[in-house]
Amino acid sequence: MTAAPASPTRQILRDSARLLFLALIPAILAGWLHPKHPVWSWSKPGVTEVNLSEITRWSAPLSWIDARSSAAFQKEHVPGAILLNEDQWEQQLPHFLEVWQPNAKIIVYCDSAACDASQAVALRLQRELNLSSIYVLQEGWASWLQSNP
Amino acid sequence: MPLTAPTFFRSLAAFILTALFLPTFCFGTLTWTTQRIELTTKPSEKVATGNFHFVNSGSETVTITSVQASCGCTTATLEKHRYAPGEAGEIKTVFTLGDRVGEQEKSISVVTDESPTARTTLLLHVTIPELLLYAPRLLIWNIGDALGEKTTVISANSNRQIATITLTLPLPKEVTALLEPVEAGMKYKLIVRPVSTTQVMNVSLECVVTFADATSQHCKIYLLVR
Repeated sequence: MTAAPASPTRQILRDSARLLFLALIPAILAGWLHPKHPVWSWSKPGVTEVNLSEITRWSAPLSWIDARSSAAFQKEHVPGAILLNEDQWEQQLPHFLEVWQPNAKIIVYCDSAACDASQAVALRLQRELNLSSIYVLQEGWASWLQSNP
Repeated sequence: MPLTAPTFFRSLAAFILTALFLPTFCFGTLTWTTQRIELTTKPSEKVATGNFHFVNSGSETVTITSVQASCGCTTATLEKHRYAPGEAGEIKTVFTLGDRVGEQEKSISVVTDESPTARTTLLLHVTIPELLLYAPRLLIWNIGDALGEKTTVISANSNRQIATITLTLPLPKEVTALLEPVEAGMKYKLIVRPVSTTQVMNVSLECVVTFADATSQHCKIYLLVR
């Protein structure tokens, strides 16, 4: 007695699974053993990111925080933004608290998608001051410039 | 020809080895001693420095075309850009701590002429011990609230013992404050009551904490009526 031949669909699926499995083995080994394997870094939980078009739909007052360097802020910034970065946190925090309003949504930005200063400042405001309604601007200052050339 | 088990496993082994090491010949030939450096700073330190060592393990001269740090707070410098086969070098990174605390991770992207589109990422992971913890650091009353007291807890971090903690005088006239131990040497609570909540208030309370090892740290709690 001979076994019934597998249907073409099942055969394709089985072959695809085999190929995927074969590709997975060198991928895992390369990621683990290869001399130029990437450095693994697990991202920390972050503050919610929002884009400019979402922000323009909000009716609540906005409180902008510029988390870039003082030099970048002095050159140009979002109108009404407050400078608050971790370089001079202790010096700049009082000024932010002077103007902060509890009903305002806080939006923090840094240079671009590549920087992490906005997430760091937003997380610190949450953790240290227990503030809520904090968001990070997606793509940061670069996206602001794109929308406001 | 039927695919026998030994033939299959030989083919599989050849495939894995090819897939694993082919990229070595396709990409750059800088070999790094480490691509991740972990440091823990001391309270008095203003910067953290880490050197990433490499060697050109290929047969051609390599030119490092770009070294870029993820943060303006970090500088990454090279002594020179061209490295002959077998030559070693290092990228010196200096991370200015500023007022940062906790776990910090700064990345440095390195690009060479051998693979201009592939970046090597170096990571500088720095732990900056937070000497004091506040829960929380900001106390808020709403305008028109009853004159109730609010409490914040100040505690020592990193297994340090607090020898003394004192409020800096004079206190702002807008509030009354009292400091009480919760767990002597470790945890203290600061009880604050505003004199009035009829108008906006924006003041702070400062204190000085001296640790058992004779180092000291200023603390600051913000008090708002909004």
